[in-house]
Amino acid sequence: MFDVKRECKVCGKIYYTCPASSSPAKTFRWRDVACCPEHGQIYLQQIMESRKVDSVTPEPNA
Amino acid sequence: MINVADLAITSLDVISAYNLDGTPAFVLDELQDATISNTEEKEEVTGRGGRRLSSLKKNKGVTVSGTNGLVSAGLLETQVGDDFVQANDAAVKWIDYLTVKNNAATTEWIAAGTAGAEIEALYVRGADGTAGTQMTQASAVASGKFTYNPTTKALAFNENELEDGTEIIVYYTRKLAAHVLTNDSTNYSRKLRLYIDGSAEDKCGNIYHVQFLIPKADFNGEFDLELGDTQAVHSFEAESLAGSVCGSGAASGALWTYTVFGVDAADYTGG
Repeated sequence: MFDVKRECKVCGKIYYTCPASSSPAKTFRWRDVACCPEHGQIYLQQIMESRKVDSVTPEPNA
Repeated sequence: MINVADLAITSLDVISAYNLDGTPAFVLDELQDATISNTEEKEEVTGRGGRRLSSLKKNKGVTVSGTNGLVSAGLLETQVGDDFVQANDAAVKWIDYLTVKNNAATTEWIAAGTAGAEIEALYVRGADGTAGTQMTQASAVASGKFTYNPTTKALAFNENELEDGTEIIVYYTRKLAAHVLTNDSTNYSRKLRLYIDGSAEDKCGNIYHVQFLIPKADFNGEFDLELGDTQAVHSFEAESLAGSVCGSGAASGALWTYTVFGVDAADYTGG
């Protein structure tokens, strides 16, 4: 089995995972970003929050 | 009656291929060359002093080979034994070379993948032009970390970490509509019926049409596609098989038939 070394985006721990070259669309694969499902959930929440902020359009002259 | 004793083949026009059930497979109409190679094994029957008395002949064979000036999708399908699939989400690897301005940059296309890990790698290009420092995607900008929003394709960097004009190299996967052919290790090259059409001229300048029929051509799965600074041509080779010809009109033992007709030959209306 071919595993790659990754760093958990939540706790920084090094972990090994099989790379998914073609995950189904709109699927969140926690192994791509985190060492465990719990940290994957935390990271996904952070991403969703940050993108909500990104998508806010400021009012003119605000 | 036309005189077909001596003809000069003046042009190779087209090779059309059909599945053995008669349905069309592909047409090669930018042919550079084609060869019908005929072989036969002959064993000498010898007598006293080794003098030849007769011969035993067996194992006739015909190999058709050629080169098309364009890469043919149908010929590729035949050679690898699989079909093109139209996919709406085919994955392709992509590399962008971008310039940072105001702590931001925009990917050319949408990076696909797991949310928060769409960018597979991002390098800051060094002064010598090589890929230098690697940065990682995160949920918030920080030193060595950037964010990405696939909706806007926006990359954002930590304030003043990268000067305006800094070049970055961004690796990601795109998903898009495409036609995809897979060369599967468990599928093998196919058998087809081939018609090779050409033009011919006799000594008196009369023009004829010639058509070779190979009732069952067993394509070879070994082929080269040479990519580079010269034209990529598509070569092929197929061996003619005798036996059942599945309604091709040729005799069951035929390796090929050769039909010659005048360009203005009348159609048969006898029913």
